[in-house]
Amino acid sequence: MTVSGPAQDKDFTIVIYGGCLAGYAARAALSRSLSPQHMIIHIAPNETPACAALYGNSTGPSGYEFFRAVGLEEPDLVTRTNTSFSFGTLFQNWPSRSRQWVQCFVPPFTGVQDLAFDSVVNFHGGNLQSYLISAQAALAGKFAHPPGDPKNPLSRAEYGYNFAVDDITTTIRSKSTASNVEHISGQLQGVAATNGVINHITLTSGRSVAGDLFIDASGTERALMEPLQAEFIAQRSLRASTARSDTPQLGAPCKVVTADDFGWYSVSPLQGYNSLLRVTGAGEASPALPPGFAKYESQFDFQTGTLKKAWIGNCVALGNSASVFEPLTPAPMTLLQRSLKALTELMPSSSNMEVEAKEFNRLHDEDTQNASSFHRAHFLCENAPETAYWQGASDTPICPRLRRKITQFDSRGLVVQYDYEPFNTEDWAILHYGMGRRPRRGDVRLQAMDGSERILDTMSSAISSLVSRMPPHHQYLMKFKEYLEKKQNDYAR
Amino acid sequence: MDQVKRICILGGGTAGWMTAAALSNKFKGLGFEITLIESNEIGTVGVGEATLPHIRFFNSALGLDEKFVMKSTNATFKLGIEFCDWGKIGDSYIHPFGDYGLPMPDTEFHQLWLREKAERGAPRLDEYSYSVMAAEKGKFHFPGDDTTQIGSNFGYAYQFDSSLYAKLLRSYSENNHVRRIEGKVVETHLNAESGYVKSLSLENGAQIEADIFVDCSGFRGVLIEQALETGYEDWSRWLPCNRAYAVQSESRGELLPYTRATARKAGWQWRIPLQHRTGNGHVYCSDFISDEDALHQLMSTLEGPALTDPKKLFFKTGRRNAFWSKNVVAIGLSAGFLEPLESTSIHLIQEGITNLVELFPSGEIDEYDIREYNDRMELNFDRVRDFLLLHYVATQRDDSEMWRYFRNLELPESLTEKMEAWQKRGYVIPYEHGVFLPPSWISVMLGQNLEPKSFDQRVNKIPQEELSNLLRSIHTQTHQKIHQAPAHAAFLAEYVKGVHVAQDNAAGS
Repeated sequence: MTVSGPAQDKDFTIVIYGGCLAGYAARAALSRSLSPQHMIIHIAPNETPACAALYGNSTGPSGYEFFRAVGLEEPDLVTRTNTSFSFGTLFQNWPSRSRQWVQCFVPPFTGVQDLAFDSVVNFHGGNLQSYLISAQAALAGKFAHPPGDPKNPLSRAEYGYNFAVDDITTTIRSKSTASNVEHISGQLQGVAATNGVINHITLTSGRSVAGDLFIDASGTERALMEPLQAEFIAQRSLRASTARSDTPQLGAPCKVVTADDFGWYSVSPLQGYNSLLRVTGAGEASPALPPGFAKYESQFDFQTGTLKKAWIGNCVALGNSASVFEPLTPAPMTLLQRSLKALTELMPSSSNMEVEAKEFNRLHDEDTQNASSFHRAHFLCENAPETAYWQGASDTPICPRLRRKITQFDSRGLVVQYDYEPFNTEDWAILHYGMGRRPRRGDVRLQAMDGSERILDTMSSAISSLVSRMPPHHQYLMKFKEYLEKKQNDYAR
Repeated sequence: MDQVKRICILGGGTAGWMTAAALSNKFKGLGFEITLIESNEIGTVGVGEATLPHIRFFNSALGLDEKFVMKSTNATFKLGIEFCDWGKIGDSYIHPFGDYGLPMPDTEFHQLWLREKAERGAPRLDEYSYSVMAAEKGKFHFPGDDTTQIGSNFGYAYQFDSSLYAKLLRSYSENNHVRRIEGKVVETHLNAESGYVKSLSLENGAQIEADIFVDCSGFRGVLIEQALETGYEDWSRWLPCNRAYAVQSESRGELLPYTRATARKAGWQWRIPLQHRTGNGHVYCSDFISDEDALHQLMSTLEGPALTDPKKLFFKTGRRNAFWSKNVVAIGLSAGFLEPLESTSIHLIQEGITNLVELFPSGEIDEYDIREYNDRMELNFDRVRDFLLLHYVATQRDDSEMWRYFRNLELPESLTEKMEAWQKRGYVIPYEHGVFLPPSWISVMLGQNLEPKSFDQRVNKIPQEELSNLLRSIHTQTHQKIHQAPAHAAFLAEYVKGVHVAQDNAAGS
């Protein structure tokens, strides 16, 4: 038996186990941000786990920073992968046929006369969506990069990406060639641990790998955390099915989520094809595919939930190993990004890592609570179909934080925020109004506002006018790609 | 539903007039009736002569001109607070209203400094802070617009005469149609059914009715406690100081742009330089020192002759169980008391007012508004408490009974975790909603000799020479900027020169 790592000339060895996005992202981000004194051994099984689909094909605006942290600049995404731009998610029939809104990405709202923008719109009986350029552009299928000039209405938009997880994983892998990374293709056979601390792991090849810190990026299998008796707090048993459909022309810059009796499905427009992800109750036969899709490519059951502690001893769980969400919102990607950032910041330098684990677990707990609240809020509706999926969704407990948020919004349109939530005030306001919630009262100062209607009219006219002049998403992306490729060719010469 | 329209503020100190000014400004045009009752017979505590930078936003929201406010209140600029003898006797450091160094792309500046210090040695972190260095040199200049530049990434506050500030805001409020009634409350009448305060009877027989009452009556809590018996959460086990002597003295020496807090055997002593005098006080715990000795400690260390008789104050650290109960909102000392070690008294008033404006009943008083207000204020008080307590426990002092008491104290878990994370790796557990951000925690922990054993591992990615050059460059730039800045006294004199202040401090509305 060969035992490798910790390497003699290295101060600290990190062993990553997992062959999908979390594993490659951890490898890339850590090798880029840590000194060569940190040795990284990445063990990747040959097969990508099916649960990779649960990253959900989309990021919010923080995706830009995430991809940069793992070595992918926007030009790489556009020219080397089938990634497209996204102004948000269009929810339709959610949960009844009449309800539709774009859960779009926006920078912080600018108040009107010191009052929350969304409350002013509501006071005048307006539709918040009309004043959000990212929502209007998404509906019109238009895209352009937001400019820096604050006078331009498009500067009030933010964007994320639609992406394919396997495509991104491959690209990250190809770019991750740091000298302090050793790649091992292999399958885990066993974990040798004493008192909750991993000494080494054994692969089916017979090889043993020791390290100072282990990262479980194995997905829902939680291959390293399970032997440490990590407690997984399960919520729902669901089934995910995926399909793809080739398209000659790129669709609108948003993911489209459609609710039906069986659950929901999302269609993400990518360069060259649309990617479908359907979520239904576990064990249920997958319903008929929407038009344009011929057959399901994969189907698997999964359990949503979260690890009570994502760092035990010297082992840290990332991505789907740490928490499993229905990929309805960008939460899976946002949480992967945030936990990777936290791990990088809290990277220990010795075997004493209690303080780091405690803080990482606090952040994990905060993030999963807050993201779960945001997810759960999508299912707080009275007119949902009376089917097993929707019944299960509405039976999921409502945590005290969400109760406070809903109570305060219903009462007076107040958006309550906790420290460093993954979804900000604007995300919540758009969700509340999108789902048709309306506060019983408003801020008392709304009664004395002067000229705010005119401000809103001017704003919505400017947005309509600009959106009509914006290029379609497919055209913009094609030209942008041509420009980048030309630049790359010029540089190569 | 009937709109709450009649607001009665009880108490005319800093809290009362700040509340009156803000409500009269924010609710202009809504037809509200705002009445403030104050009695000349009841003195005000004159809480907090030193402020935090947030006060500038309060004044600016009222439309008050800074020069006018400063001239009217004999204010000086404040760049931070100097803490003397806290870590150990002879130590001193400044808690600045600003960042250290410059924003870095991957990690905080102090992490770079920790590595440089460990590997090559480095000047103290303060030398990379514009506000600390400016304060130490007695300089002042307004921050620039680009917060990524040295000389721009700091804030400032004021040291002012709070009684003059209250006077200015009284004038402002009265110009905004706040009705002031001189009188002493002798009885509070409650609605038998709802338990709400219905009216107040004054000594002269007048009855004042209102829909909502703001209790700014000070420590007594005439409405929130005496009438509604809301209860008090006692924090004396963590912050045992319970008395203070305050006295004004003649100014001596250079006009400094910072407040000083000097640790003593049984408490601490403040020194706040204003344009025309110096404010002084000794906060102490009566379990560890007699009143006579506490007074002697204060009077024997004044820098100039006393201008007033010392005023004795009694208090119990803690907060009300509810800041808003039924139709009474407590703001100021009636809401709770935290010693003014970090100049938070006026800030907590400001927080109370800001939240009241945002949550003011639209229609009738709603249980949800009350709940939200209380949740927010609880968080504010709790987080300030932890920060104050840090000063007493991050210390090597054991030279008196009080310091030994703190050595054996069981701390709130939130504070213990924060100190452990810092000592292990220079990491500050952050929060978003609260007044003291990481640089404040860093200044106190480092200033009181809590040295981290390690640092953020990402810093090791930077080649040593590059790191040294970067730090050297920031150090040089900081000192060059300080060299160019004018002296605080000269800057202030020039700034308020020619500003006319009427005898009665009349402020425009």
